[in-house]
Amino acid sequence: MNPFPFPDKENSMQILLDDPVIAKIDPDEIEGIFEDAWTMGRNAAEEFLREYPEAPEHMEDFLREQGFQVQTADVDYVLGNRRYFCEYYSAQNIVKIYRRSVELWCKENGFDYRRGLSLILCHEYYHYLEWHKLGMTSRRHLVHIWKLGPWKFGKTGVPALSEIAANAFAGTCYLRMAAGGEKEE
Amino acid sequence: MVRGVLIILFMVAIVAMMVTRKMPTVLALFVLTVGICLIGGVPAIAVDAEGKAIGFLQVVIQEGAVSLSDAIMVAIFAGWLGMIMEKTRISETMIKKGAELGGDKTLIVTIVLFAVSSLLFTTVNGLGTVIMVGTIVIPILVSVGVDKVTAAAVMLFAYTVGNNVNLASVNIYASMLGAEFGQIQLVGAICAAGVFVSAIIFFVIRQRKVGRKYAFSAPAGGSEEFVYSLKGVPGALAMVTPLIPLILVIGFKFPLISAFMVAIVWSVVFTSYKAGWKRTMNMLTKTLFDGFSATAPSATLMIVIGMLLKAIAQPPVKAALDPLIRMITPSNAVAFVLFFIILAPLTLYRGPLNLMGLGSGIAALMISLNILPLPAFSGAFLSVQNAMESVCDPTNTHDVWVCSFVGEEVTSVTKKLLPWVWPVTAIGVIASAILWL
Repeated sequence: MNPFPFPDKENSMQILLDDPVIAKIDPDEIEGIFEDAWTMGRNAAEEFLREYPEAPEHMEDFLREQGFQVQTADVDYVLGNRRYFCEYYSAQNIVKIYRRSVELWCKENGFDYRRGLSLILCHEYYHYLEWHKLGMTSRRHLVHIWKLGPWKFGKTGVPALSEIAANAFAGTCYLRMAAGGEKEE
Repeated sequence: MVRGVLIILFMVAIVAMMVTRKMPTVLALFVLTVGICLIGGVPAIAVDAEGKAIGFLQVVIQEGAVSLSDAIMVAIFAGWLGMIMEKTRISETMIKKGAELGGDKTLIVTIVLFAVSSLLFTTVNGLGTVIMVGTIVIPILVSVGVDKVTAAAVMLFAYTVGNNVNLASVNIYASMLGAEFGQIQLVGAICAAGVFVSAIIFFVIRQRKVGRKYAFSAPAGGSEEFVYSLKGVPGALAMVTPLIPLILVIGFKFPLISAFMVAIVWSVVFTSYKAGWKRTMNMLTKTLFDGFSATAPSATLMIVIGMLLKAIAQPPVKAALDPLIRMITPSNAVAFVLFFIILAPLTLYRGPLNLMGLGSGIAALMISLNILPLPAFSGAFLSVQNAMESVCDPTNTHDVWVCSFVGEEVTSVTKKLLPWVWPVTAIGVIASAILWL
């Protein structure tokens, strides 16, 4: 997978294919599940853009105005084999930005820092929306927790679906941003 | 008395060196050992009237270095098994299977991985294995939405739960304290159960406080290709490996090293049938050497602790410290319980209640006074060590590694966890008093 993925459909599908529970999903259902999550994120973005048309251009300021605590750490945060660009903590409404990681992402994707960060913060804002307003996207498709022969026990969601919808949200916001100014090369 | 006071002052100075990180623990304890002998007036080389060696170079350094050799050997074989479990992907497969169970239920993933890690640590211990398990567990936890402090706590609690019933570890403490294996195992089991319950309460409360963590993230590098793949019945049987030594020792009274060797054969049989003879032989040799290497930090610490125990036991040193230790040693059940519960934090920073620090000498002295039964003192020291110290001592290499791996300050994480293990220490101390006083 691209180490600095743009939140498009191709990269988002890879998130679903890499999900730990992917083996529990019927292969025939994967495409439909993906489209459902993507549509969920895109619709939420359209609603958001109707209410706050200018917000994606300055997401950091927007989040502060909405009462989020936005913290910035001046590090490139790599844990294990994964690089983290930004995090959102649902119960505390904290957004933590890893500035050097974001800088790398911006450089790879041809954005200036402010615009690139806004796109990433749009992604995190979707998680706020699904946690507090829309309902958990990851629960739109449930898989069993444990299977023993013919018996299946418990139900749990697919974490990748939340990320797919958040990417769709960010991608839709990006199109609005792009309409307002050319993406920098 | 003057010599005794000087020894105590010297101990305090050495603790200060360790706390301020001016000297690593293993070297500090060696300097302490030599200093105690010199201040205590133990001759360097001498023989008594019967021709028996009594000099500290002969008895403390030479004999002390090998006095815990049995425990060191067991640790090495356990280290070998740990390395095989890493190389053949038994540990990794167990952890990933655990992550699959939880899906988007972060708390379930946390508890399952905590349980799996605890199980792994019942068989393997030492910094090398903490790194081995931690580099798999922590990234999984953080990627499914667990905050960094909780991910670090999962590792520290799991290490403590497993280590309490880890056979090699139990054997080390039994050798060090001169207690019966079964008594140490019983206190360890009580502490393990206590820490397990305390950890789960911590995870539940922490998740309510922090919520779920979402992240915009991506793989930072390519994935590795492995020869070993655990699937089907052989894979399931391979994942029983951590239980094999426990079953053999507890159920069939196997000697420890034999039990670990059976587990090694078991793991190889169910993982290496596709790898071929030559590759398997190479893997066994490499993991044996790696196992030695992984055990080296704790083995060197045990060598020095063996010397320190001998130093404290030298008649001139004992005579100098006896009056002081007698003054502070509890002499009834109530004093005993209050002493160990209230002073439990003295186990931190290799302090006077730390069996892997100054406490090894203090424990030996308290036990030698015969004021209260040996099992009670052993149980109390172990409760302090294996609940509070194992989780919260910032000088522990596993604490330092886990916290730096997640990018948190070690003292800030250990401070958050202290209130959760202190009650477990209290339970262990009270249980020791009820059982043996």
